[in-house]
Amino acid sequence: MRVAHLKIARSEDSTGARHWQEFEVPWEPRSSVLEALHYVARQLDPTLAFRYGCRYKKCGLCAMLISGRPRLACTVRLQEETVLEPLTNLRVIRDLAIDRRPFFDALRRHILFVARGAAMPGKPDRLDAFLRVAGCLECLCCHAMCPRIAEDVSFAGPFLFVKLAQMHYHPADSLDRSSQAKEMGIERCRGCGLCFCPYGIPIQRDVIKPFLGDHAGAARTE
Amino acid sequence: MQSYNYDLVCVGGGGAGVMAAIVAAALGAKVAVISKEPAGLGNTRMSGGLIESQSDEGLMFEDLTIGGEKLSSPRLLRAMAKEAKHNAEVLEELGHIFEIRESGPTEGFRKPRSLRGAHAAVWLGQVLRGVLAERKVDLFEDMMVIELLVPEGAARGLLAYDLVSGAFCLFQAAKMVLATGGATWLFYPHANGMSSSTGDGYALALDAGAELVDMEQIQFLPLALTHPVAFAGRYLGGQRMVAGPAGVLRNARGEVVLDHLGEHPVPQVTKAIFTELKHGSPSEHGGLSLDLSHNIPLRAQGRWSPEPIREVAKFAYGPQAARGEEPMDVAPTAHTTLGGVRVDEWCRTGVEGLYAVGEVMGGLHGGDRLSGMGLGELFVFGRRAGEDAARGGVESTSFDPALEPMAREKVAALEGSLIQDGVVSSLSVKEELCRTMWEKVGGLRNERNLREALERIARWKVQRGQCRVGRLRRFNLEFMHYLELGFMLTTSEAICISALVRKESRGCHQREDYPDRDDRNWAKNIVLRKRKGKITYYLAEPL
Repeated sequence: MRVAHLKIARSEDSTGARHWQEFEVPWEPRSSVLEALHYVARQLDPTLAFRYGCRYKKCGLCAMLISGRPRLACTVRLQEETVLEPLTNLRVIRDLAIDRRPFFDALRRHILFVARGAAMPGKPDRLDAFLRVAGCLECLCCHAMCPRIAEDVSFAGPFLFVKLAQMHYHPADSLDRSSQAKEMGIERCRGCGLCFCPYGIPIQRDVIKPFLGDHAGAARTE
Repeated sequence: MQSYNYDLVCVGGGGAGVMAAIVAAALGAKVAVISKEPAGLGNTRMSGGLIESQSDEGLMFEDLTIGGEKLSSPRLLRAMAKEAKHNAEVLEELGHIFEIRESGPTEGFRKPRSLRGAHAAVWLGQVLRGVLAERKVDLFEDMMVIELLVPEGAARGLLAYDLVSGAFCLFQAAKMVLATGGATWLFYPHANGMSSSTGDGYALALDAGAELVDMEQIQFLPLALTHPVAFAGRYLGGQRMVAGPAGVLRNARGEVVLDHLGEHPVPQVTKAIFTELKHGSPSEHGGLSLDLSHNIPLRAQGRWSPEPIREVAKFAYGPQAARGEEPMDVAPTAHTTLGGVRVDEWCRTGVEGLYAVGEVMGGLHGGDRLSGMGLGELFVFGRRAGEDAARGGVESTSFDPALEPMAREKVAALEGSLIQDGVVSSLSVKEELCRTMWEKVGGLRNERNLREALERIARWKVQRGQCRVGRLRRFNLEFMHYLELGFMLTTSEAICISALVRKESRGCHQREDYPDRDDRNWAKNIVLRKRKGKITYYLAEPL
């Protein structure tokens, strides 16, 4: 029977103190990383803390760094050697579980919900653009990859900009989200494009650049 | 212990819980939502996004009555038929966007107005989080409700556990809404839902003195993946769409079990597959072979497409199978729990101050759930529960001094019963329970299997007392599994008892030893309640 090796970052809290723990799990041709984690929890170490929910690409809860890249564990095939760490730029609760609660507070703080009111003059009808950014699972993979977040506390980061774009393109939202994007630091985006979205939202093209005034990319429809 | 005081606490952050919360808050109530996972998730967000919103009340009432197979509560059906028409507008007001507004034929409805949300229900989930952020509702995420506090027969509060900090919390509430979703995870891995669907609400309700109705009714959908384990139970899609005009189901011997799948009603296809799995020749993975290859030439005529077959099929089975070039192994999957907490048309249970809404609520669907109703009901009854809960005074009552000692006592008892170095793993027991539920209670049932399942459940209840929990600390999944296992055992017991009592086949409940529908004796609800710690039943006319 073939085995796969997992190296998992363990920790007790968010202070950053970590140690590695290695596990051997059975390997089947179509195993996912999530399946391997379930095996660890069931057979090897029940104290391992990790999140999951839907088992394939619908809830976003199993997002983590898989061999250095933020991905959904349910969609990644298990390799012979895999390194698992919690998403970066986020407060770790324990092991691979990160604290998602601050993001609800952020929705409130930044008014990232449809704000009805008198229609903004000149607000374009952009349902097509809305649909391209509406499928966000809030997995936070994009947030984890952004190098700016760690350097600059007033830079909101890709996830919050995606939420802002959803409001911007939403037909019933009445706030000036373009100005808000600037207040949230969008001009300090480096354009590095590291903000990877496992769901396929083209963040640079459909969120960052349009807010920066470059509409050439966003104007292109499917 | 951290203590909170609210007019209304909604347990569950899906469509039903959020709807009840925002309606009550708009009427001036001080409201909190407690959610085991982040709010806006659950099976609401995982769903296909179809929301029934039709306006012909009379026709809808008739269709629902027929679909329910005489088990639905006419009062609930009337409320649904009357208010479904508002669903589209209500949701658009909250910020929802519908991608598809035309209605093709749907299962069971003659004149549907079934609207599909943008990105199925992913945007709907975002809307739910957004409205909670917008309105004056306090949200407690990653928090699990352990027990409802019901001093002297009135629901006054609850004991909760914060998964992040590992601390217990006490909530006092004048009113509480259970919106905890279903129990499909009981059939893991043949379950098409979130891992949080462990039936917590049914157990909480029973222990609080409320009643459950028709718990034996569990809807299975026919075509789902069977392997690997990580993907087993994931739904492929509606049989008409997936199987197309020329899909064929074969057993392991190559014999045709069923063809023209799209022409048979869903329950018939499900039953045919279960029958073959039990008495015929299943594959090594416990499924049947779905051969779609004869559809491929029809593709050019636009009569079939492999596109809708979920991407997950490609990941699990490979691109050739996903294109229909190779057969796929399929078996039914548990999709929704139709029975549940017994309520009146305002979602009130028999316990003062306690409501139930959404999948956890029983009596609406009866023997079968029609298309678009899963989401459709959340917003109709969520609103009704929120309105009724806020009615009759919204001033916060002063803190009841009896609750805190009650809560402390329960925490002490719980901590005292936990074995930090126990030999049994809750996760293992959970999986054994799920395997038994699939084998003995999924699909075709009989008395022997149901009794066997009940015996095992009784043993596991004892064994649970020896489960290892580890130090109570941050994000302790062992403790979460331990708590969920408790709820799952109670809910499974309720399902098995109800299935044993109903000596006939009706709707989603199929008994080999009683294969016919018996209207003379069994056109009745099976109502469960706890008496002296044991689950008892009685029969009643639908409300």
